[in-house]
Amino acid sequence: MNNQDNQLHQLLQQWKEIEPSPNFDAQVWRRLRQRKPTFADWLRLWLPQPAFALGAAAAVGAAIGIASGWFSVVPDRGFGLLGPDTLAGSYVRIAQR
Amino acid sequence: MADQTDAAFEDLLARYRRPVLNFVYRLLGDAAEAEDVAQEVFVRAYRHFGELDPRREASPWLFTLARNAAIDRLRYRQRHPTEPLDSAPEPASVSREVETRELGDQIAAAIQSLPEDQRTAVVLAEYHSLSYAEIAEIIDCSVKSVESRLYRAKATLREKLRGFL
Repeated sequence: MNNQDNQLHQLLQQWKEIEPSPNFDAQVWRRLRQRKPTFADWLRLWLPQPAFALGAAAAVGAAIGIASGWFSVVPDRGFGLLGPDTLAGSYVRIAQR
Repeated sequence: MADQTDAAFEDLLARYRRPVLNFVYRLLGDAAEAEDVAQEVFVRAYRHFGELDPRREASPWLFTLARNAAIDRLRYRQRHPTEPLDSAPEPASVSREVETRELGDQIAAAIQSLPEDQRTAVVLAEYHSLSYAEIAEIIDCSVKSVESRLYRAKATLREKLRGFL
């Protein structure tokens, strides 16, 4: 630290510290008690429990299984807007000939 | 498990309440606001307590949380500016007021005039004796960048406080 820096450092120390209020800790604990737990807090609490982790993994696996089964069903394209009884369907058939 | 966490957190609170409060105070320049923000810092610290590596010093992690909370408060101030209670003084009375203002207030005003990143760097270096590497971790920049910010901050402070040097 050079002389200029040292002088500035000495001067800056004239801005004095403040003291925490006597009930600082109590206020922190009060805020912690008042705050509603978030979903992340809930997960942090429960995920380390083996039974919960196993149940959650089974639920996710089941959800993936159901979803993949649902989306693998091929939709029936013979009906709807291009069905045999519709004007659009008749047009498509004529165009295909 | 929760009791152990609470006990470790009590230790952290006892050790760092004063440095965190004063760090926030020097960033914001207002004691009442600093108390409120410092308490919020410890609430955030409790919620992220699992991220703290017990083998490492807690101060960089805690000062990072404190800096983020102070920045949030500064942004809130910008969005919600408050009207001063007194009407603006005449220029002549401003100079008289400056002359009679206490030295601490003038240092505070000079530090408050710095951009936030320079203010953080200078407060951590001058009032908390943190190394450049620790400051770089808190500000999330390189050590070279810390050096440059401190150089500019000190040049500004010397200029603003030259009457006292």
